[in-house]
Amino acid sequence: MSTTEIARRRPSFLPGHSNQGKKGRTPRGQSRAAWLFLSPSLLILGVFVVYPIGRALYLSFTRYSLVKPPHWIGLQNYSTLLKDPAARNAIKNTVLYGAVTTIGGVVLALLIAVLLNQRFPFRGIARTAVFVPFIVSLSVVSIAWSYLLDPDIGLLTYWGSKVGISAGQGFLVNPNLAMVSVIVVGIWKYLGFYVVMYLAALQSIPRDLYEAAAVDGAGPVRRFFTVTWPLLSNQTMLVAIIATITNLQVFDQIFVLTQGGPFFRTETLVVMMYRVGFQNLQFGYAAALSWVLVVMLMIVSAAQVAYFRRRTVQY
Amino acid sequence: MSSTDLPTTPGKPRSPLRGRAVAVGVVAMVFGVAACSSSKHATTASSASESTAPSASASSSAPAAVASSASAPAPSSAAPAASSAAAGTGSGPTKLIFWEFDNGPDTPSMTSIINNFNKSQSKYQVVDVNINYQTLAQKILVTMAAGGSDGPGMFTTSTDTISQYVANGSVANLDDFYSTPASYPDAAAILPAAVAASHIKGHAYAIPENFFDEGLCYNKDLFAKAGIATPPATWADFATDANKLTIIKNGRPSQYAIALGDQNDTSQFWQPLLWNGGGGVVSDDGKTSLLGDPKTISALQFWVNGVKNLHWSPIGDQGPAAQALFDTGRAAMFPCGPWVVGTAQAGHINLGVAPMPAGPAGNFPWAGSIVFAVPSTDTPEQKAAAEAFGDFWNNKASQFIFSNGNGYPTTRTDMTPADFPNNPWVGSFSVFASTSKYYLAGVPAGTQVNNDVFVPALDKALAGQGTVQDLFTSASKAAQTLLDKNP
Repeated sequence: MSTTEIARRRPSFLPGHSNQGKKGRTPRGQSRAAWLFLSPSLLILGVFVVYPIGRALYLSFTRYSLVKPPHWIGLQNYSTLLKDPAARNAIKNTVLYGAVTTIGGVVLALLIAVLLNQRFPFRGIARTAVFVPFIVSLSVVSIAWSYLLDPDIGLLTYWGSKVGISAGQGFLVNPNLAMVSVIVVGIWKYLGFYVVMYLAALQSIPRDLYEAAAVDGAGPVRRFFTVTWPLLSNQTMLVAIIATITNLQVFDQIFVLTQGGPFFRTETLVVMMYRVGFQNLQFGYAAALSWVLVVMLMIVSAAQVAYFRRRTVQY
Repeated sequence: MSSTDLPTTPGKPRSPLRGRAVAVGVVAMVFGVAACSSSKHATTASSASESTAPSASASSSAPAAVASSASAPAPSSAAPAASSAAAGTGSGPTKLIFWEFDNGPDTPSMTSIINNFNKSQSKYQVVDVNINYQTLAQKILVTMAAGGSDGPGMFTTSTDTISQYVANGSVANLDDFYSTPASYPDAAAILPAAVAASHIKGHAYAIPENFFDEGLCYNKDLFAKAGIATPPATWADFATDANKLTIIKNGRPSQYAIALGDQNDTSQFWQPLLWNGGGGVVSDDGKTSLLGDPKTISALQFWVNGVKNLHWSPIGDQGPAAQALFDTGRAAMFPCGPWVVGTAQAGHINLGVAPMPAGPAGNFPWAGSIVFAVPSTDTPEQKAAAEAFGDFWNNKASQFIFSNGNGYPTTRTDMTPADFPNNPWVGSFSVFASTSKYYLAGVPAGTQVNNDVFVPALDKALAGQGTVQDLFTSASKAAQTLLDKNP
């Protein structure tokens, strides 16, 4: 799509749109109408997103157990957090999980998307098989994996033992394998979604670019690195940001598979938030932990946007 | 073509609408705050009269203001009828929404007793809402904080968690239940141990729903197959039997001697092992950590060695997984309560029940009890309804229905297993009561000590991440810090 084409399709309320031919509709009037249409969504976002975020920030400066009113304690929760080895451990686990799952997921998704973009028999079935885990509930997926990895009845444990891979008392109990296990489940669960996003982008790359590269003597690998990869920059940015945000907020599969164990080896920030809030009833401290995650997400997302913005392409 | 050859877009143009977006966001936030202000006020009203420390008067003083405040959405699991709960206002009986997590064979007995209560009088009506334990634990405080009349007026919890609710002022003082025999005549007949576990610092905060002593369930067929005639009476017997009952095939256990869960929901199974060795997690007064005590260390060394090195039990199992091994004949023994009887029989297990094997210090079974608790946000009418139901629950007729239906021991001192000729299991989990102990009852930091200190240290020991001595000496310091911070 050319730049002029994009401009032509611009929504009427955005700058640059031509108002010619729309009698009696001033830009101000159109803008007002646009905000009117947006207001229900903004209201919902305000009530269910912006307000809770602000409220959590306030609660992070209080001691709060839900039933009694919050008691202002200033920065005490944050100073406790800085000294709390459990919080440091949770941040470390969150970063580890987020980094490995995001990088692993994005790279694998790209590879699989490139493969699924080729023509081969039963391609539709293969694409469906890759996508199906994404539409299954994460809790269901996690329960299924807990059975697969069970040391006594697990199919994967059994197969592993046949090829000399022993997890001792179990993948999810072994302190060296528990995090690996939840990362594998995390990558597997969301892979299909990222693959579909990449497939859509791959199919929008003009064929003539590949033909021109081939005429210039570029082989498949060179064509990938000089045509495919650069032209997927926009999609990579989108996938990477979505994956990062999703993975840094991981909760479900860890809660179901390991509950943060063994001995907090898989406890991430959100799992710790749950433990501190709903088990220990320290909601102020849990709110402070949530803000650590918010700041982490803001920093990582801003860094990603800054990095990819320089590589944004239009064709 | 390299990436730099490709045309790139300039940075995103600054939108002239940005200022308006901020304005609309602010307006949306104002709406949000307004929408939520009613529930905030309810919380404030309910809490205004509470002191910061748990006390007898604190938790029961606030409810009237809350009941009249804004309504909150009912939990999804609440029965439709519950949404119209009168909570003591208007005409007709006071409706008491009751959240409970009983399941299996408990359910028919529970339903029957509630129906009988509702028929027995016209002043109160109990509306039963059965939900999963974890869901209940997650929602109960949020519902109370939201205020309104749609939340529970009574709920069930366990004796080891009630102190946490007391500490944050979320449950009502029930001293009058035990001190007003004219209104609640059956309170005096409840087992003293169950009554004691319902008290924190001399004040009552709960009414017993059930009571049992943990026993050792064993599979008679697997014992016979291993040539063992009787269940183990001592730790030495247990070690001998466990080595016979643990079967290793292809380098992995195909049969375990015992299924000892070691996660948060099964950590109580380990308590008799520590108590029988003369140790424990905390002292009986709940003030001192015993995790570093030499007797605790010695007991843990014995059991950790058996589980980790001799493969007596799987590692890392939560309650359902551990029980499933026993119910399917893959574990010969299981520390259990009356709830195991039904599932074991459904799995055609030839079931026997014995006391846990005695250790060097004797035999101190874990006593478990589910209790009725009343939110501190209840109206006086709701609280009266809850106490009336608690009294009815513990009368002779109700206790007969409950125990006869599911094999639990009765909560009453004046009923014996002989009163239940049709259910021989009633006596199986009450024979050890003279020495049984509650775990963490009345310890405000109990949940944290167990979940954040004891279980992780145990898991580390079982995973070989340190010696029992080092791990539990360190854990003891952490536990003591928590106990001191939450006296």
